[in-house]
Parts: sequence; C-alpha cells; structure tokens
Amino acid sequence: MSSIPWLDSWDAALGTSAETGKPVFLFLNAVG
Amino acid sequence: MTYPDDRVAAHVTEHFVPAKLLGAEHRELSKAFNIRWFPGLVVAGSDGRAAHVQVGYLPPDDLIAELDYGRAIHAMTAKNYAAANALFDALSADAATERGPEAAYWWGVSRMRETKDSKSALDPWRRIAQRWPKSQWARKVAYALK
Repeated sequence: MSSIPWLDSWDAALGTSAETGKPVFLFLNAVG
Repeated sequence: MTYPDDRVAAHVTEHFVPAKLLGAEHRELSKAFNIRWFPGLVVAGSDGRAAHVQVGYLPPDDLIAELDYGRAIHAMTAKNYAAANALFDALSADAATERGPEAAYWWGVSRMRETKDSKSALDPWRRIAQRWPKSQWARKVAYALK
C-alpha cells in the first residue's frame, strides 16, 4: 500500500511548496 | 477508505506538498480557510492563498477530481495557463464529474486571461451549455453565448 509523506507543519509545507512549485494539499482533520 | 487508496496516494505524492494537521491545534487555519467541518481539504499556493477548499470524505475518483480542480486554479493563478487549461479541459470532458461545469467555466476564464480575448472563452462555455444545460454555470454563461 502506498503511503503519503504528510508534513506536520504548515510553515514547512509552504516552504516546500515555494521550493518545488507544487501546491500544498492540507488535510485538516478532527482526530489524529 | 480514500487515503489508503494507492491511486490517491500516488496522485497526492506526485502533484502536491501534503500536510496533515489537527483542526483543534490549528484553529487559525480553519478560520482562514472557512472550514466549518472536518476533514477540511485545502489546495493552496506557497503564499498560503487557497485555490480550492472542500470538506468531508470523498471516494477516490471524486477526491482526485477535486484535487485536480485545485491544481488547475492554482496553475491559472500562477499564469501557467497551459497546465491550467489542460486540467480544466480534462475535468470537464466527463459529464459525470460534478465539478465539470465549474471547471469548464474557469477554463473559459483562464483562456480569456491568457489571450486577453473574450471570445476564447466561448468553446469551453459552449461545453457547459451542451453538457450541463440546467446548471447554474450554464445560466452564468448564457449571456456570452447569445
């Protein structure tokens, strides 16, 4: 099964997005 | 279960920077993106501006379509019109895709922004009139197709 390499930091996601040009996909969940 | 799906995982990994956070620990993000239910799904640019927001669990095909719609809006905003137009075209090629008429609407807008010619929206907007004639999107573009 494939797994998604989720980041756990919004700022890190924005930084990686700026570096790669890829948009962020934020999954904002009620439980972990 | 959507997220263990291999196609979804491959799509997200290839095209996005994925981030998973708890709403209770990031109320500022819920507020910023107007998320009133969980899970909240946001496609955003590196400046934090949302391209697309959704809530709730979706089956794989629906989720991939929603993600591609967000990618298309993101690409259009970045003036990457070739990528945006290709995604909008693909999303509106299948009449069964619920986001289809909205994608065709924005495809027209994207082409107008690219060419600075309002007539370039007409082919995508005719698709709306043909495939989703009873939709709100068809009524939005009716003035241009007269």
